[in-house]
Amino acid sequence: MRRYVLGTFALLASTGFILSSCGGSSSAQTPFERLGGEQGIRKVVSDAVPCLATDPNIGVFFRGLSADSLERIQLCLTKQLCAAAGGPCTYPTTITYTSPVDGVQRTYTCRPMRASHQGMVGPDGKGIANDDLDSFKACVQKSMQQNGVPSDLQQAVLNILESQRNDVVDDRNK
Amino acid sequence: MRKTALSLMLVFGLSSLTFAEMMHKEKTLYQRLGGYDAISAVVKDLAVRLVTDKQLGIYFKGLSNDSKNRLIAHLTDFVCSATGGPCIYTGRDMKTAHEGLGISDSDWNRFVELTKETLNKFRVPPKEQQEFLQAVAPLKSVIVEKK
Repeated sequence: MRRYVLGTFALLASTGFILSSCGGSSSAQTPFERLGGEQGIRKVVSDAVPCLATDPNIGVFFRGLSADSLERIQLCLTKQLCAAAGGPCTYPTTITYTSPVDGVQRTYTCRPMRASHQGMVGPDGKGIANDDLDSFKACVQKSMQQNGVPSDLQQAVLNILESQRNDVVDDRNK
Repeated sequence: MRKTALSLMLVFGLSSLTFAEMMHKEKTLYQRLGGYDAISAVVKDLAVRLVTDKQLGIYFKGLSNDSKNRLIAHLTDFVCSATGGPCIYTGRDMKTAHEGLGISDSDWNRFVELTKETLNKFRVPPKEQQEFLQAVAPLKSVIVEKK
């Protein structure tokens, strides 16, 4: 009797394993998984930074970021995309990170999009414009292309960024 | 024996009284500037000058209102603490907060100029102004990256 029960368990367990492997096929994967998890998202974010920092429209918004601040903003964007793409992240969130300046562990609270974007000065004193978000999306798209992200997945990420337009674009430009 | 102990206590008691008196006479810079509210007003005035300055404003163009408010709160704690006040600064150390910005000697000099403008506006006496600037002077070597 005991052997029979054990055997059933073993059978059930292996069936369960096979089922969950089937569930991992590309059609059922979340955008988060398809992007390669947090690591994959971080790569896309990091590779977008040179474009963002030198962009004629929006580079100015990144000029005042120290190396430590630039690290934080990349980690926060990663967390945010992770949360929006079906990953195991929450946003807003407090992160613990290792500073690229001195290797010390620090904490930082990644704030909601409205708090972290409204009221910027920008070149004309009016903060982030609609065009500026378009430039931001273009840099992220370029980075996704460089990283071989499939076009439907690119679109999913761009849709996430687009969904934040109302919070990101300055109220003074509406 | 008892007499010795008593006189020792007296001596210590007296000397600590004298010490306390000295401390009382030499108020901290924080106190002489007018305490927290005065320092908070000074920092806010300086922040407006920095953000709108032709030369230094570039470093603040990407700060949201929330970020500017946080910066002002950090700066207030920093100045309060550095002038002997009862605050604890919880922000990043000055090196971590500035490295990578590429701040030049000329940027630093402009910062000092703007600080003087603010201190003059609040009619801070020359002695206190000098002490204030002396308190921030050591930060130059940590903050300036480009000679």
